[in-house]
Amino acid sequence: MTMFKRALLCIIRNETRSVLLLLIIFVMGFLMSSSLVIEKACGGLEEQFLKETGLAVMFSYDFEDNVENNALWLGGKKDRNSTFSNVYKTLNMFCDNPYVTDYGYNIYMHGFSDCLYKESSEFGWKNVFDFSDPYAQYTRPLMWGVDRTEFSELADYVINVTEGRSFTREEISGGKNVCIVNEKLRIDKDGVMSEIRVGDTIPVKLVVFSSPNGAYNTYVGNELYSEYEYLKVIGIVHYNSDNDKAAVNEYRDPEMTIYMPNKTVMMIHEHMDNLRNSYEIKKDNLYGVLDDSSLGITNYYLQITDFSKTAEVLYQFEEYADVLSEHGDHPEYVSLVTTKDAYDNISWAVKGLCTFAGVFHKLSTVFFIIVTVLVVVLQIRNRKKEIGILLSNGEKKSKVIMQMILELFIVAVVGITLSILAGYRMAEPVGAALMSNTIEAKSETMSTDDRGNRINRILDVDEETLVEMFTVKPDYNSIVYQYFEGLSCVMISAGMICYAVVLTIPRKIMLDGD
Amino acid sequence: MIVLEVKNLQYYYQDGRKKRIILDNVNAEFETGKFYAILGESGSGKTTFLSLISSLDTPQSGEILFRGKDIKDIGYERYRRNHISMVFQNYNLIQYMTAAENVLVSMGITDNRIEGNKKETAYKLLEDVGIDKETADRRVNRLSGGEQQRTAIARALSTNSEIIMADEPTGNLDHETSGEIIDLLMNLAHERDKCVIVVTHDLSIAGKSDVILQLDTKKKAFTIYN
Repeated sequence: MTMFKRALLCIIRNETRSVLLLLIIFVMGFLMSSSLVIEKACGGLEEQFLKETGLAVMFSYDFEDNVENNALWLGGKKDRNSTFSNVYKTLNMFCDNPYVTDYGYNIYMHGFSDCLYKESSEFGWKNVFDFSDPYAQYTRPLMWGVDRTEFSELADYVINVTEGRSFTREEISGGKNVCIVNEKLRIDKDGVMSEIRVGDTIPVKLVVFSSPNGAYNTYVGNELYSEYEYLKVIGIVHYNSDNDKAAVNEYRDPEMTIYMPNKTVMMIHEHMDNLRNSYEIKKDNLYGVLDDSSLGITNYYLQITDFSKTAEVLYQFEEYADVLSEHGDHPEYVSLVTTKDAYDNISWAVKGLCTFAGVFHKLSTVFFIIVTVLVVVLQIRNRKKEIGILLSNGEKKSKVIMQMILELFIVAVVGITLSILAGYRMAEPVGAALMSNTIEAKSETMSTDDRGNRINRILDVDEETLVEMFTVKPDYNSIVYQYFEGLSCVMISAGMICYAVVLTIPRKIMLDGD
Repeated sequence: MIVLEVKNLQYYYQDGRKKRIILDNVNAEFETGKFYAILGESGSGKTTFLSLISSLDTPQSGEILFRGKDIKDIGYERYRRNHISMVFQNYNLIQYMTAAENVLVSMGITDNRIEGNKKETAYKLLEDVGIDKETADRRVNRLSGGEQQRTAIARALSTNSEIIMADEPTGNLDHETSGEIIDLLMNLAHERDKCVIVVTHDLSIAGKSDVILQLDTKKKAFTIYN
């Protein structure tokens, strides 16, 4: 009878002993496996989140953060050119970085914050959306990931194209003079936009004003130069106010919006900047604006559409962006929020679970080893006679050890296989339930970071999203690792077997006489 | 033919500083085809002697020669595996196995050549000692004492070793069964040319034996009666 047959016979015939050992290995292995699977799933959630949401970077340039600028601003002495060019330069550095192959950004240059508004309310700043406003205190480009590449994606949320089409990628990357108009603008009385159809052309007037007093709010000064840019209407859109998930609404009226490709806006801005600079007049006394009257409507906004591909290397991008924000001309104005930050902001429950699972995994591993060693030691004590019989028959100690290790190994493989299966089966519901409970318990007292809130709103994600995204997927490496870990824990007991067999003196067991 | 030779064997326990001598300068020779009975009072060292010649224990001095070769040189494990077999008072069978499986385990351990199909040989050996096939397929913990001891003898035969050593083989058996077991062992010596060495208290067994080795408690050595 071979050693293997002996081992099998021992397992089969000693049902109680084998089942007990199997049960212990299964239970301990299950605790270890499920906690490991949960830990890994939590770890993988970040990657999954970033993959699904794509690359989103919110870049903020906050003029108000800079006290010196604010003082200059309020004193009307601000170098408007340098202010905006700094924003623009930094913006370009982001957009032109090697990790973003095709980018776009939104610019809301709203000059309506408290400090500005107080100074200029009498001129009705809210009626003007000025791309070239050098005093735009808040510039927010958004770079979306691959899952947000098409305009239609945005339309899914709030805007439906009712006539015509969305932008093509060529129009976006080429900066074509095309636009999409909200249907509400068409019925604005007596303006250029009235009864406009797809295929029509609308003029946008670029004006260079003098600023006799050197103040930012005197664009109503003399018109030094003007020219028209013509935008071809390629689509009419309907704004669905019931499904407003776009954060852009924060700063504009979506029903009164004309959409343009980013690059078009950039080119118009550059053109306007050139126009202004072409005048040999002190720059501080000049500025260019889009003349809203050219469209014959009031209260409209220009929305630059956003497009980009997913950067394959999110983390590299973030590192790159961090470097840019640190080394830009005015890093103190710049804050950068990425999708990763959004994840960090909502992932506290996941991280908590991950930590808990990690600690639990380590504890269960130690417990697994201790319990298995104890059980094996007890079982060896009951098998002393068997060991003695084999040794007195001349069996080598090494073979007796091998037989017993083989028995342990066979039971361990079965137990660990079952525990891995159960671990994968249970990890997802258990992990999700634990996360849900944690979120529920803390939701009332939780305070969230404002930055994170803003980008989370853009991405439309919250803690519950992560619970929904929490999935456990078996992978080859993980399974192999679990087998390795489980078997290692069990096989530590093999040391006890070696110890017991080596120290066995068959005479004491076999011969009771004098 | 002398198969086993014991020369100047000494064995003692170290009891603190005191040396407690069990066997002192013991000499003996064992031949194939003979039935040996080792007699002695309780504590005289009979079982110790058996444990030494079976290499379950080692002497402080002296030699145990198997066919003229020191068993130390043969290797204790190999000696046990190939040259001797043992029958114990308490049978010492693996309880969760059947009688046949116990015999097969022994066959699997020895390096000696087993003729024919091992399983059939095991049944044949068991049949030879009075265990039928049905009984052979029962777990040994369901067998009677006599059946277990017969199984132990079959196991001893299974390795084809020349020496069979038995430590009080009838100690746990009734009178009738004891007689049958002793007859069985004597047959092994006389018909199968084995050297059978039995440690016993039973004088009736001693009376049937070819050679009696009486362990003298005072001398710590044998007095041999042929």
